[in-house]
Amino acid sequence: MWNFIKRIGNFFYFKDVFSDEDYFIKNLPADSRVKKTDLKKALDRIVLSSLKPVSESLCILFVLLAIFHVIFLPKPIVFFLTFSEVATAIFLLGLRYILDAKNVPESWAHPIGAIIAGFVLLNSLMLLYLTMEPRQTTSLLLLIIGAGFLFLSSRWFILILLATVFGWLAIGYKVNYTSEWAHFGFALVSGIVLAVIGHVIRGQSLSRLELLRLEDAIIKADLEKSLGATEEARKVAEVAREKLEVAMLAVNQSEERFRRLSEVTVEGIVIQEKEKIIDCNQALARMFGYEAPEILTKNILDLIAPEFRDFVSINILANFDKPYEAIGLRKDGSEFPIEIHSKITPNKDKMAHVVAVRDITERKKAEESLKESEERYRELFENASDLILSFDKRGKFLYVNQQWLNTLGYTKEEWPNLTIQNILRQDQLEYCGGIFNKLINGEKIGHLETIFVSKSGQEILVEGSANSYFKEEKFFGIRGIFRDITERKRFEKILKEQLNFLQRLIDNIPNPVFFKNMNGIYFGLNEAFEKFTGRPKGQIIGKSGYDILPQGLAYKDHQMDMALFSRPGVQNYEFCLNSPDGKTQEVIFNKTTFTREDGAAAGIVGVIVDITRQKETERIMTEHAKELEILSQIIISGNRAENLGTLLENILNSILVSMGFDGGGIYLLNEEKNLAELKYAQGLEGDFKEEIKIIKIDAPPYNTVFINKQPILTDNFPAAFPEKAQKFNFLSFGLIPLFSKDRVIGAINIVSSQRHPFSDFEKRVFQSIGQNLGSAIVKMQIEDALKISEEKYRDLIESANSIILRLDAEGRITFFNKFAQKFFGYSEEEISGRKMVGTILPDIESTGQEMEAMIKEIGRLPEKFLSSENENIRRSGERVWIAWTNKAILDETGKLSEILCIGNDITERIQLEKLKDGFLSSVSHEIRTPLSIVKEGISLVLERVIGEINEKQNKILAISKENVDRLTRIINSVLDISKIEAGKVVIYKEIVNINNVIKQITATFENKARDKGLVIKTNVEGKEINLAADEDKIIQVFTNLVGNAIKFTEEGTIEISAIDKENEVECAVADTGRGIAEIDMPKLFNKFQQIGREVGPGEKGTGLGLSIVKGIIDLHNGQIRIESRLGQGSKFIFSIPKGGGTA
Amino acid sequence: MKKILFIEDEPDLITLIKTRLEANDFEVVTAADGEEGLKKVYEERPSLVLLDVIMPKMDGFEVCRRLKSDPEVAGIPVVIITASGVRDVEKKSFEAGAQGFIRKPFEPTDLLWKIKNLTQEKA
Repeated sequence: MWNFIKRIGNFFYFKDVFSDEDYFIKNLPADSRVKKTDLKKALDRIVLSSLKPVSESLCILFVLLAIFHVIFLPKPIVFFLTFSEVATAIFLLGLRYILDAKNVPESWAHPIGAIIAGFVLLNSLMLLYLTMEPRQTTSLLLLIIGAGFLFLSSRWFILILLATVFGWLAIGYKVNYTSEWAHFGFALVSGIVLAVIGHVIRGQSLSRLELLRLEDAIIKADLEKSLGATEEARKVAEVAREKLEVAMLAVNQSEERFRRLSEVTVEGIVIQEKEKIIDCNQALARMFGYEAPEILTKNILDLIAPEFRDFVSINILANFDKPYEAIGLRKDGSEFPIEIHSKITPNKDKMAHVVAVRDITERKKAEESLKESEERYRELFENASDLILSFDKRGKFLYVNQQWLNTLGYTKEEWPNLTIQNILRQDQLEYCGGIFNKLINGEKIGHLETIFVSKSGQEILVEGSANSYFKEEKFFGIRGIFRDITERKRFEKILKEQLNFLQRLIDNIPNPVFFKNMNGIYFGLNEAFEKFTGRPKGQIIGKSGYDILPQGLAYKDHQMDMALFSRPGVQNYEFCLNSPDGKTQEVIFNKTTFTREDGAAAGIVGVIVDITRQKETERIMTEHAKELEILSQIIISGNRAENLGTLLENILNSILVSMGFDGGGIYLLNEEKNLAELKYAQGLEGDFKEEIKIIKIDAPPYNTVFINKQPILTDNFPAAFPEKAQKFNFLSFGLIPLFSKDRVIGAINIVSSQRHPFSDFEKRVFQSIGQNLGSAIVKMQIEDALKISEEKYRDLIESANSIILRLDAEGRITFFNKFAQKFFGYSEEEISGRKMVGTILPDIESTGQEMEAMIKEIGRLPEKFLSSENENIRRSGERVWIAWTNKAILDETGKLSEILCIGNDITERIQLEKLKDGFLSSVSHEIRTPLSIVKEGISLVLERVIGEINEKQNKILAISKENVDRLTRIINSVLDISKIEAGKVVIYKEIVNINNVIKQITATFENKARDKGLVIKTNVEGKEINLAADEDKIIQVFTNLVGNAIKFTEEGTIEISAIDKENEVECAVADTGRGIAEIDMPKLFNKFQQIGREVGPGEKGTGLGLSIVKGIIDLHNGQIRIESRLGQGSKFIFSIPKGGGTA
Repeated sequence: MKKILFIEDEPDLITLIKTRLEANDFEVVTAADGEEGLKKVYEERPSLVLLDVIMPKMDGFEVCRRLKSDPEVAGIPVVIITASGVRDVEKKSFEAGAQGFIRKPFEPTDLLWKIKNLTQEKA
């Protein structure tokens, strides 16, 4: 029951209903050979076949219905219904005929069925609607059941079913509800169920049946097909068998024939089947060095060299039907070229490869040698450096080689269109044309020179040969081989030019140049050689040395040539010959062989160098060298001499030895007596020596030497001086003047018993000796004199009653005289080399001065230290005062080399001075006190403090007061000067502004000057002049100077000036007063020295002012000087170092 | 009237200077040596001390130094008057604390000017 519902559900399942396949078709078993479409067609065909009776019967039914309804039904409905039923019947009738007549496709079956059902349904519903009679539903019921059986497609069936149900429902909705409607509704439902069941049952059975039928039909069709095929096959097999038999027979025959054939052929033949050789002929076996049976069962590829196996294998398999080459492999392993030709052949029932093999060793060899020779020739032609060409009788080129193309600049494509006329130069055409005609006539042309023109227009000079060649005894063309000789021609030209150049060059060489061949025959020379031999070129070329050279030279030349040929290379030798003009000529021959290309000596090229001059120069140089040597020897020996005696001895000795004389002497001039004295002699005989010891310089022959300053040199004394000959027993004699600055100071005499011809050289040497030795002798004379005078001075110094010592630049004592030794208590040996400071000079003087620094100062400022007074110290430690005079001796560069000091003991004086200073100081106080009382007393009276005084009293007291003041000034000045002299004044340095000082001084003296009618002018250069000095002292200097100026000036101006000079300040006080006479100037700074003191009004001087000024300036390391002229005023100028110097 | 203490061992000079100062409206008291002078400073309380240097018992520098070291009398100006020719004397005077320095023999105007100046200053 449940299954049934499930199946119903399935049946109504929409998927099935609306899927492409109908329910029945879907039930087709999977392994069925029936196609779904076939089944569908079959089912549709069943429907289609049932449509005819259905439409027939329905047609009848509707006709009957129409009749029935006309009879039974009320009229309003009848008309319409009848009309509809009649129309339907006509439609069905028409359909019946269409179905009968036309071959309607199966697929139309269901739609047509649906249309029929539709019409029926329409009529039924119309009836139901019109009648409103539920019983009429039965017609719908019938329709549904009928439809259920009719349709074999669920889709169409359900369509009608639904249309029916909806139609009914629609009408039922319209009508008044009665129980009858429900009753017939239920009946309708039942009918539907029945219809569905009926539809399914019929559908299934029909579809099964149809399926079976279709399957059966398929099986049957198969069977019939196989039956047909078997029959066919049988027939074919029959035919094949007959053909096979015929073929077999043919094969056997052919095989037999083939076998016989193959046994006699030289080609190796082999048949291979499935990689195995199944047959072969004797030739093949022989070819590969096997016995025939050995080959069987081998593979044909075993007979091929390994590297060819693949190739051959592919060719065989591909049935390549042309012969090809490969390498075969013999049994013994040797390889040889083969040609293979294979073919596929059916052998019995299998396919076999028939392979023919041919040994092509010989052919290969032949081919290769042919190829080689061909290539050689082609290469030869193509690569030939010659232009090779051929052309036909019209001139058209038949062949040209690569060189031709290269040279003429044409391409491979161009040359075939060219003719010989295209490449010949225009003017060559005629000439060449003639030659070609000769060639055509069979003449041969061995040499031909012509000019080609390249494509670019360049002319190419060629030479070569041409000949004609014939084919089949007919003239065919002209062949030619040419060579480009453009370059060669050019080189020939250059060579010619070079040769010309070389000839010019050689001609221009100032030395003779020549070329000789191996036989000594001249074939080339230059102009210089013409001159050398004194012959023109024409007389030399082709001649030998014996023909053109002097006998001696020719012989030597020949000998040397022989030597040079036996040992090729370079040769030099000297030769001395007498030239045509009688002079001797020294020459050097420079010869060298030149070789041919093969390296063999071809000849000699030679250059002659005239060395006459060099030789002469060489000789002169040698003489000079000798002269210098002699002179230097003499000078050296002279230098060794310590005094005049040894000098003369040394000189004379070396002259005698080096010049080779027996004896001689040296005279020195005594001008006062007009005599020359023999100062030294050697090797002279006693008598003779006495005779010539003193000679008169103005008597002959000596006057020649001493007055005329000429040497006497003779190798025949008796002949030259007959009057002296008896006494003088020698042949050679020389007397040579000795010069010092053009003055004859003596003479050298030399004699020899041998004849000694004086050569030019010797004369020159003597002259040099005279010139050079005079000065040396004079110098030695002076030195000797100096030595003597030095001795004298030394004695003086040693015995002087002063200390005399010398210091070197470092302050070490180098000389210490006897007095000094006695005075200080040191011996010279003890003190020599020791420093002065630390021995006789204390490190620091009792005045505080550092002595070491002072010694250095002497070197720096020698003038300042010309004299000095120092405290010295004796060996015993006693301090002594010495006044020194110091002389600094400078070397050429101005550097201190030594200091000469002369000192005198002044200890006593110093002690006295000290006494005086102390005395003055203490006395000053004692004088001042009463002076001040006197002055104050007079002042009080004069000022009327204690009462009136009369005019006379006043005058006398005024004079008294003035003299008291003067006395005060004198005392002050004396005190000042004594302190300065005693060195007791200490300078307190501070920065002094000179501008201020001058201002102050001007203010101080302004009134005083105005009283005298004078003007004080100041002139200070520079804004601020500062220096380090003691201001009070500087003011005192100005005070004294300005005071003096005012005092000695009656009218005019006093000018105070200052100039700032880099390191010092220069101040001046100038007046327009009476001036100072020159003779007075040195006395100016002396103590108590008053120049031009006059009786008159005004302050009286003390005579110490300028001494104080100088003292102060000295203390400041300054300088003072005076510029003055009597009557024209004076100018005192002093300068002080800015740093103030060292005190 | 300003009081001047003049310390000087030379009676003649005392007479003369006293005359001059009195003529210029100064009262003058004197002492003959350093010790006495110092004593007089405290007794008289002068407006100014005129002081010689070279004196018996105690020299002028010493007097000046002592005077200047006592705050009670240090305010009294001191002028040193001396015949010493030693250069340093002026420097030493000022070092000792003096306000003025006069060298013998002196210019009367110079002496008066210095004394007037210093006493006025004081007043």
